[in-house]
Amino acid sequence: MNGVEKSSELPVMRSLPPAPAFKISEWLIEWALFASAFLSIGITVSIAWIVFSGTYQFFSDPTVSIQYFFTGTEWTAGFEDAKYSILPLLTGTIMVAVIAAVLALPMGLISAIYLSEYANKPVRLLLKPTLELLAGIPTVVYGYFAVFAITPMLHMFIPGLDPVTNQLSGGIVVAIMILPMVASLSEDAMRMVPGSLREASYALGATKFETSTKVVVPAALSGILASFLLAISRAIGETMAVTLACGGQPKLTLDPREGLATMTGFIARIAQGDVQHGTTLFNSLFAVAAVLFVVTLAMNMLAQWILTKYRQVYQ
Amino acid sequence: MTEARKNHQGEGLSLGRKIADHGFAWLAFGCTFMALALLLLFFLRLGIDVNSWFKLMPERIAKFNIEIERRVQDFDAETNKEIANLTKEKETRIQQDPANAASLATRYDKVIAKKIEDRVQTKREIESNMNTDKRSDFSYIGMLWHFISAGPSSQPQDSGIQAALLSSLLLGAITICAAIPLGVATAIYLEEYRAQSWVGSILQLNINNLAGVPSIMYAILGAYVFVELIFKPFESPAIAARNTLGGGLTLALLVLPVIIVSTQEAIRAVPISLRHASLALGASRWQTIWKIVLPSSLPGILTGMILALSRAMGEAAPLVLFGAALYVNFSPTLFSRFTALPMQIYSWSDDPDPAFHYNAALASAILITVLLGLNSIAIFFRYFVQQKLKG
Repeated sequence: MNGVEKSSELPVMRSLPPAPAFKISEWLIEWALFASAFLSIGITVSIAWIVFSGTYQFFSDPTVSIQYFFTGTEWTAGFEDAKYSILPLLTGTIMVAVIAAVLALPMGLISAIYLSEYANKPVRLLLKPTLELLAGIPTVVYGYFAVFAITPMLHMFIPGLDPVTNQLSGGIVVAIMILPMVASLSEDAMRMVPGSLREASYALGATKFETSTKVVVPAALSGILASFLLAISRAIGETMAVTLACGGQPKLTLDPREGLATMTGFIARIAQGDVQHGTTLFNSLFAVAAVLFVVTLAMNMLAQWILTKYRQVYQ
Repeated sequence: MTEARKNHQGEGLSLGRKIADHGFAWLAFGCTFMALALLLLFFLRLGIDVNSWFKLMPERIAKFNIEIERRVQDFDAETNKEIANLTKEKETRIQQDPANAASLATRYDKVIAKKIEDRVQTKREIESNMNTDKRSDFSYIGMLWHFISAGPSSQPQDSGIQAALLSSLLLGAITICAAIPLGVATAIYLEEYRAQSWVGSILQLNINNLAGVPSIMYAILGAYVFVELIFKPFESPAIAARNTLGGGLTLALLVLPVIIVSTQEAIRAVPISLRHASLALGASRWQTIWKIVLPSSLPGILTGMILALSRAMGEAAPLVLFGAALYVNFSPTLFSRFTALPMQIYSWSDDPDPAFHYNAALASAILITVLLGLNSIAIFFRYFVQQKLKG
């Protein structure tokens, strides 16, 4: 049939020039944006390079032995027979992190369950910003709080507590600091769980408690675990509060009533004083920073991995 | 047959399950409100200490005023003693050597006159200093104003946060000016250009890791790059090596992940239909981003900026390592040494003199007020944006 119109009967179309697939200004902009994005990689690489090259200088000093660094028991930098072992500082950091985790993780999780399952809308609208308020207080002020409010209070109840610096108040204050983080991230994870799962559970006769603990929490487990790891990594990297609360003496003991220096506290206190470039003491700063960097990086990557690998997508 | 089949209807929950349910509800309630109670306890403690500051300072100021006056009196007493000694010496010498009595007398008189002139001059200086050191304003507002406008001093009642506050504001401004362009550019790159590629995932992974790096690491980086590499070669009386610009840039690196993540979320919230419409109308990719996507996500970007600013102003650890001074008596400029309000709080809390602890409390209260103000603006902004997107 006559399906094709004759070209003379078609409306006259002025043909557009072909659109340029490559414009130099667009290409320049894309590379400028890439450069600034690449800066973030540059930051990580630079930190790693500075810290590890300092560590290399530290270990190439003949008075420092790698074996003692990881297995020894004393950190007596600055003295005649200086001994450098990371264990006292590591113990200090781990003690604070453990106390903070034991206090904040369960409490944060239960608060998150309350916020996502039990609280009604107005209460939630009031509580979430208040929790974020806790997170917005600067860490120095938490340190002040630890030294002048918590330590005296603990001193009344716990015999043998060091009245000036102790790990326990450091741990408590870091717990208060990471609580909003755990609660907020866990609540986000639990909110992702679709309501149909909860409703199915209720339909089968479960109580709210059983639904929350046996259905919602396991469903949001990846997000909750990731929040736990991020919170612990924050507790490990915390500086100002623990420096004020725990003091600056590296000791190797498991008694939380004493005050041990943490890795971060050590770095802060040494950097405050006048340390010569190139001395062993100065390089020890890098070694401690390297351990800190590796530990926090490992925890963060583990958290990211858990989050992406085990995230259950409900669609 | 029907008896064999137990009818479970109407049995309800077992006691154990009921107790568990109610108990857990109370536990959950308790945990959440424990967090609030801690917040309340914190503000209570801060309030008590600030109150103590207002109660303690007037008597310390009065005591110090009395001490200043006593210093003047002691000075007068000393002057009189010295004049008396010289006069006695004069008379002894004249007694020993009566032949030269006249010349000795003239010489000694000249010495005594000069001494009196010197002492009067010095006393005038002391008195003028005294009038500036002596404080008469015992009202709460007056003391508070003095606290905000004075620099640090060895006397707790005279110490103020002026240098620290100005430094913190200057640092915050530098941080924002440096971090916003870089952060927004990175976020745009990640969201618009490389959303699905492996390059994008590596960059994203890196940014998530940077968000978790302890703040001291940034100081180590900043101290090396900005102090050793960049500013030390230019060190001069006008340009300090550990200057405010370097400190601000270090803080900018610290808050970069915060800005990137919040800008990414803001850009992600822009509906894709807007982008498609723009591209369909013939706009290039960058035109779409610059004229359509960015203006739509501007409130989210501003929220991220305020959160980053409040984080930067609250950090002390990286500045301690970077080399911020703890005793800065002058107004900081771009290339001078600097301090920061959190650092001032830290050094006052660490001070053995307990009076400084009250200073730390008041400074903390001021810092928290400023940061709470900023955070409230951010929260209000977010609410405003949500309402706008809904309507």
